[in-house]
Amino acid sequence: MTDTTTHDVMVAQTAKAQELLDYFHGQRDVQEAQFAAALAAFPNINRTFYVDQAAGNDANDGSEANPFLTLQ
Amino acid sequence: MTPIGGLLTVYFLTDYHVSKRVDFKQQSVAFKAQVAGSGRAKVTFSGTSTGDAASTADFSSLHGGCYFECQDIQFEAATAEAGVNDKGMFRSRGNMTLRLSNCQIDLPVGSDQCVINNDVFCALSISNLNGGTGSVAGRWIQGVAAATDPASISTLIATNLTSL
Repeated sequence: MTDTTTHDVMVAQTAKAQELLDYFHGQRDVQEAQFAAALAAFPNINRTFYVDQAAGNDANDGSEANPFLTLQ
Repeated sequence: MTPIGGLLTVYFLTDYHVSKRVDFKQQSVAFKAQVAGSGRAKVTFSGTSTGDAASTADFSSLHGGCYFECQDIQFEAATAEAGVNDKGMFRSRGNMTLRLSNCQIDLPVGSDQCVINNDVFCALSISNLNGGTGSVAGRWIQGVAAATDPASISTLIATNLTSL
């Protein structure tokens, strides 16, 4: 009788622990997704542009292959 | 081009002529050279800004606390026309850090063109400066004579130069 009660308590505690673990994992996944979304939404504050006053064009994207004409 | 507070890096693929003031909204701007067959890009400033008759054409930051870094650039200024009071190649709306690395500065002999405008609180760091046309001594900061002790200039926050 006692052994059965102890067993039942352990099963119940294990179930609770698993429930807690599942909750933790779920929350972690939510937070990681939110963090990734926040990072993705953050603007790129470091930019590199190329300027070629001989062959560039201000309508270009400023890449090395398609440089700007001017700094303006 | 970039959000305020960001770093803008500009690679000059050719020599570049600055005919009027260039205002940068970024807090930090780095100028670098990537000229085919040459180590440096030559950046020339005309004597008078088209947009601001009282100033020489220059690189100007709209930020206080801005940072200009220049690598492998040959800067050349032309003599400003009569009536132009501001004669620096660099200026900001507040304090500024200017770092020149492996650069050359050519200033016209007999004029008072200079590197930094006199209305700027600045920190100045120079490494591997190559001699150019006209001595830079006395022309780092507008109105500051050659051989001046940097510590005596209240607008000069810090520098690795022992003499201006």
